[in-house]
Amino acid sequence: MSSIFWPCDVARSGFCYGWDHPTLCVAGVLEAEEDSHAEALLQRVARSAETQALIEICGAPRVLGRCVLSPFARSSYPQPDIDMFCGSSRAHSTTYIYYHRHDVNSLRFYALDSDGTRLFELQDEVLRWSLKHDFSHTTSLRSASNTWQILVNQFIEHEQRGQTIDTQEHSARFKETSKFTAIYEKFHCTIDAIESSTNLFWARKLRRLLRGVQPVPNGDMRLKSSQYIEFYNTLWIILNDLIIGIALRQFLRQDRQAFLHLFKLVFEDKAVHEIRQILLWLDSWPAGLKLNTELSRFYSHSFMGLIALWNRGFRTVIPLIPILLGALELGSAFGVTMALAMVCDIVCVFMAHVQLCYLVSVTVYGHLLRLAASLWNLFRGRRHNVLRNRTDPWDYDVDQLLLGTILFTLIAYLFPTVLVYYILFATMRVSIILVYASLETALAFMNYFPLFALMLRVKDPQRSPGGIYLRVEPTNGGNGVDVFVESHPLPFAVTFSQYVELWKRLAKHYHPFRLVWYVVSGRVLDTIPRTYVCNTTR
Amino acid sequence: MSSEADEWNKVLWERQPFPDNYIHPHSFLSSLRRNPNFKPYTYWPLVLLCCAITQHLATIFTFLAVFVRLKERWLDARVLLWVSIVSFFGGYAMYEILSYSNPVRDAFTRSNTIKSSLLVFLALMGLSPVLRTLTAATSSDSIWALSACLFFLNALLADYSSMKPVRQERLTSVLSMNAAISSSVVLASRLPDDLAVFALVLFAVQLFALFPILRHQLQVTPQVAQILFTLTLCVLSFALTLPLSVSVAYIYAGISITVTFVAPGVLVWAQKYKNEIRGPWDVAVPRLN
Repeated sequence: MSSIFWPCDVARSGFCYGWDHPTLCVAGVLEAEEDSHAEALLQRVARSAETQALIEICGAPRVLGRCVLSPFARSSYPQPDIDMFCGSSRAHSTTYIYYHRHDVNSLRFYALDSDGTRLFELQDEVLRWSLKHDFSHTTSLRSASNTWQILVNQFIEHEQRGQTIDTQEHSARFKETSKFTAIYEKFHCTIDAIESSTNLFWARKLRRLLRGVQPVPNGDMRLKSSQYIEFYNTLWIILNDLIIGIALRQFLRQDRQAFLHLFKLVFEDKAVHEIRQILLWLDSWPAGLKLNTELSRFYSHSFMGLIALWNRGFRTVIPLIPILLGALELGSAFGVTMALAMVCDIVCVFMAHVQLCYLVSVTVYGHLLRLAASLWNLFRGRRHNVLRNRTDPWDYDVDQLLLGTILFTLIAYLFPTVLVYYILFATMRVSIILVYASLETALAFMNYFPLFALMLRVKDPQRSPGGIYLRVEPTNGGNGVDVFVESHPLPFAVTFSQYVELWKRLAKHYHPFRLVWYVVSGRVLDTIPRTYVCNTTR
Repeated sequence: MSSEADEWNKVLWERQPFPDNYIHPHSFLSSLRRNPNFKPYTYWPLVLLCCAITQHLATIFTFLAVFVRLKERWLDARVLLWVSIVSFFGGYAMYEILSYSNPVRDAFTRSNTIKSSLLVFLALMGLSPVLRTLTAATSSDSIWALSACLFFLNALLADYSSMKPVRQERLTSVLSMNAAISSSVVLASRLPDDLAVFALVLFAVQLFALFPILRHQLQVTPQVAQILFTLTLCVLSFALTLPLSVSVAYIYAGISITVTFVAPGVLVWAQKYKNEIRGPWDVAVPRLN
């Protein structure tokens, strides 16, 4: 009982060629009268440059035998009688495993693994070449058949070319090349325009993508398909972005006054006057809590001085706010991501006074906490050994103990005051960070959503394969079974893998527990650095 | 049977006709010892040892009396300051004399002591305006209650032992010193001016940080000297407290007498209930020379 891999769509008689190791696989049928003609045709095709790479990986295809298709087939699928030239003569009871020979331009192919990350990495030239060598590094059956699968896909393309031997294919490919470069030119100026925005990383990605889209001479279907998907995904996302951005611009234009009013409300009334009221409240026994009078007065006066300084600066800028809103409108014409990025920047700039006050109070609080920790070590009779990074027992002098005691009383009685002011500014800082985090999340959502891959999965699952399975169904005639090689579509987890990775990074940085721990231990809260976000998406 | 029982050894590495957990009825729990290292307290040595507690209480009440006087401006701050400085030198001299037997002193340690005392003096002088306003906003009732609690903590955790003091202070003794200093800082916020605050906190540092060291040294002197010293202190504190408030003075006297005379008696009486069981099953305590 042997099995032959037979292409679904071949239903003519002739000489069949393919490979016979590791398993019998027929790549196609040549219509020739004698086997010498078939051999000659095969040799001619094999001499072309593209097939060389194939041959050096998997061996040359050979004429396997002669097949005769009976016109009265028992099933709707071809079951030819093959007369093999080499090897043992096959018995009639062979199982045919049918596979689809997809059209070159349909971009369908088989993949033995669902390693979808390959899809998005293949635009890197270096990676591409190393991937080629990757194919030949195994000896096991499975990987060899992996090779075989990919190469069958490739060879189909060549077979079609070899059979017809016309230059139309070549010119079609050439046109494809020129199409890509034309689009690249058109986008060049847009890229330069957005280069100066905060979406710099994104423009860089686009440029790299377009630079990487070159015609693949060897017909590596996987690479081609992944490039195709990546390109159109990016294109679609850009267009989405622009459309939503233009809609937003219209919206902003219509309600100019309302936005101006909202702007003033948030950044002047709330951020400046509100804080001043709260500081005054804290200075005068807030909620009956008796703080140290001198320190509290000093604190509240210095903070109010800082905010008054800021307010003066703000007042000079107020006439320019309509211009700022106009710039925001213009930015949103370039895409909603641009608008989001500008809003992020506006929030950061106009909350600078809060940031400054927060820095001051977090420094004082942090120092107090560290001093308290050090004094605790003092009272226990231990000392921090910097060389070994541990606490060792240590004899302190009486005067050191005494000074430590005095400092401890100072800290114990001044701590509540410092704590109260710190809580105020830490709360404000945390809320600003949360606003920033939500804006960043929306930005990431707009930028990296794999829309095209999803649509492809719905429309034509065979173009994004994630593994194969053999479908067995009984033949129409009754006895015997037909086996088909079908492909699973790519699982969702792989499609969204990049996205999930990005989300994990954002969540890790803005995790509420992490924020709370940083607030309690007196460390400075910061927004996520650009490099964290960029690294996930090259 | 009895001959066999005579042959029984309490070992397991010998094959014997008895089961492994067999115990001869005569020797059951024969090696149990009740109160093996028991040296019962006798009354008068105990009283002598309790003098340390009495001294400590005396210092607390002296301090309180001085504070009240400062607050009511019956005592000038400068007088107190001079008293502190003089008693510092006096105490240091006494300390030197008492530790004559084992002179660990050399020029380096002496200059170190001078340097550190000067440092503390100047630090307190610089910090006294801050210390005055630390708890100025709290109402007086809370201050008295807080101070009482802190002094109680101080008395509880203080180091009354008469053994040779270990080189490094224990955590409890450091905590008791902390409590006393905190209490004096809290009380100092009631005082009218900076000099008074400085004088009071310096006096507190002397009484609660430096005096215990001297007290340790005093416990190696002959008994008569100790008793005399204790008596002096008690009479002094009583005399200082009496003009302020008669009831408090008598309460203090009552507490002193209880602690010095009644408490040791109770302890001696309670010795008969001591029931410590030891045996070969206890963890062995290595004897280090």
